[in-house]
Amino acid sequence: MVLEEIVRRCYFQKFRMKIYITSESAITALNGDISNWETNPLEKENVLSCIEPNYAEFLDPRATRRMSRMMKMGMTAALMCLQKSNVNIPDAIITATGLGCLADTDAFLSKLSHGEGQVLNPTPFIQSTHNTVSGAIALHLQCHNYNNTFTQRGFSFESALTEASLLLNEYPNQNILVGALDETIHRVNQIIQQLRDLKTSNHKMVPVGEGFSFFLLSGIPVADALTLSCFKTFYNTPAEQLHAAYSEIVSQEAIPDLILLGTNGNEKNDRQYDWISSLKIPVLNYKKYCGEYPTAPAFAHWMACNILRKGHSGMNNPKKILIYNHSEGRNHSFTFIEK
Amino acid sequence: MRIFVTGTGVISCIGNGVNENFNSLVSSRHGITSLSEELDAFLPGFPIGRIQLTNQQLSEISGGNAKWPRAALLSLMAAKEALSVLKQKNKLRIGFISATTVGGMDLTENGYANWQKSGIFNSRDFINHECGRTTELVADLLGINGFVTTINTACSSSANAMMMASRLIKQGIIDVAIAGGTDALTRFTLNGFNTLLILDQQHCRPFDASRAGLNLGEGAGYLLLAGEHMADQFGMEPICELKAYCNANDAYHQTASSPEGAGSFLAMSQTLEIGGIKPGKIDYINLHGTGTSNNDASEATAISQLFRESIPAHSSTKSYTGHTLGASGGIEAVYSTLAIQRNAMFPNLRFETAMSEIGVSPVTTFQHKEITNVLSNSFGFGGNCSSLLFSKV
Repeated sequence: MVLEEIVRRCYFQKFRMKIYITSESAITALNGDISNWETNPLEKENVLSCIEPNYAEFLDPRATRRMSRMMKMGMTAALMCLQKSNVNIPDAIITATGLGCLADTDAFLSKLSHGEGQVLNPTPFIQSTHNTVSGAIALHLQCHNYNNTFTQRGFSFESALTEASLLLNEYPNQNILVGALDETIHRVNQIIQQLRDLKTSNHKMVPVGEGFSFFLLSGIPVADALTLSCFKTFYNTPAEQLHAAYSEIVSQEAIPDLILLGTNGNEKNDRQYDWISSLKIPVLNYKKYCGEYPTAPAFAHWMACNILRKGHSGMNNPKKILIYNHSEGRNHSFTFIEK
Repeated sequence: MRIFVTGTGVISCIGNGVNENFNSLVSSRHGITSLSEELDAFLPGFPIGRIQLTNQQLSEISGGNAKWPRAALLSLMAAKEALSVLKQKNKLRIGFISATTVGGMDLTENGYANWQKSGIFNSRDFINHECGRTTELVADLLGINGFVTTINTACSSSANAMMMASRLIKQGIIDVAIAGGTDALTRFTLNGFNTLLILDQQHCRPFDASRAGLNLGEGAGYLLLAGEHMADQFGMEPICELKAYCNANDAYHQTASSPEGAGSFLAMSQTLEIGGIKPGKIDYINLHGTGTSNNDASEATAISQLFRESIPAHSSTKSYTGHTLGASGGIEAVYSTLAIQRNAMFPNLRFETAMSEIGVSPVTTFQHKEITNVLSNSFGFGGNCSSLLFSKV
């Protein structure tokens, strides 16, 4: 009965098939090797900025000179992901960004508010649209296929993953490139810091972060593909119902041996994850490695893939990982990824 | 599963509501006015498609909050109208798939202006900035929680919202969806398009040889989409069917369209193929038709390539509303459903001379004619090209 109620009232998705992760990539604040994660000094910083890759390995330096940081990082992450697969041209490109191309938006707004209306440079405006990176990837690959961009705050990546699932249900043979992009800029960090300072419950929060991650998904597994065995999203759902939904899922699937949890240090936010502790399953609070940003759950997906592929220090090589995140208690999502 | 359009809602500079918009379309009454000093100091006198209601008035009519982004207020107006045909709301899982390119940019630019004046950067000025926030404000007020998300693929956003909504319905995640988009005029977009030198300082002339750019407009347009069985079960009268759709990419340039219209050709031709409709069966095309030299030449080339000797009647209703960016696909989808429902074709205002290189000529007078299949085009920055096919049930 409880489940029927959830099915009626929440977005509880019952996709018929499994999705396979052919390859994944990310540009993060972490310095390469995941064995360092536990001792990583990231927590002391106010802002977790990504370590820029060597763009020249992926993009023509003449082209990158004119590109924003968002474009360079986003495109490089996308190309890194494709390079790890045998797919040159994906059948769809779907990106997610909570805040869009902030640096260009801020540049254009600053000039505008300085009253420089007549002498504005069009480049920041052109590069400020949310679909800039998905369009630039299509242009770079000469990919005429499906192309979309979601921007639903903390539910942006989950929206893109939902659409990829819908498309793969319809066309299982397709290879879909799903990416998540959010950048930090000084002024927005200031705004977030100001807003955080208003409440003491925010004072132990993880830093503001950013990240660029891509996943190549298909309905057909290739060798070494990971399985995204279950992906479900819930809207404004009380903890007991989430717990019931979780029990229902694991009654059909194996119990995960690791949970990547979206806690961020805010008491009110983290309280919603409390029911997880009763499961007695090891938990990794992933946001201390990437910071808080709208598409941070994409980082967790990348991290899960990494742990499954390469193992993780201090753990018995997890075989099945649950990623559980919610944004402001509004949108909750479960993803199960396994070998 | 067939997807039916069972409700429509629209607000634009040619009217508040479907009927006012239809009456303006029928009587060739455009809504383009001159940009006042109050909205933007840099571009006085530029023609714009401004809705003549203040945020205060919009909030009083819609029940929204006057402090919301203007795009959210416009969205609420149109979404409410689209939803008004649905009587048993609490029995259905309703989705809200909305498109916007500016979101709360109008408030954000005020925040920057305040910072410029006072030297203080007030974080509270920016809490409604995100595009997704505009969608959430409206979804929450309407009590919608089936599936809520936002799409921003520039000018093609609304069409992509309708595709996402259709798939969510077909695969049983929601029962019905309000799908479309909203955008308000902002200094950001006005000045942005001005830096690209594609704003016409006169009233725009889509598909005309003398065209010199677009006029920006604002508004919102939504369809209430429902699966065939749900429409039947809940007594929703189908207006028409959203029969097919396709999203393709031009992959030519960050902002410009390819001369041969590769992306628009793909979007249109694959839509027809998926819908199982021969090109000769299209009765009317609601063009993207922005009025820029580049877009119209590219779109016209793609149309003449696809339809060859039998080019269907076509027109750009942006000659009435201006280019409403992320909302345009939603507003024009409503106009496309009107074309089918009322067997009508709307004139392309201010068209005089065909583009010499292509020679296609849009409809220039209001016409009554049996309309069965309508193609609606939306193309945009990033090479995003989308077409929708609406058919009589």
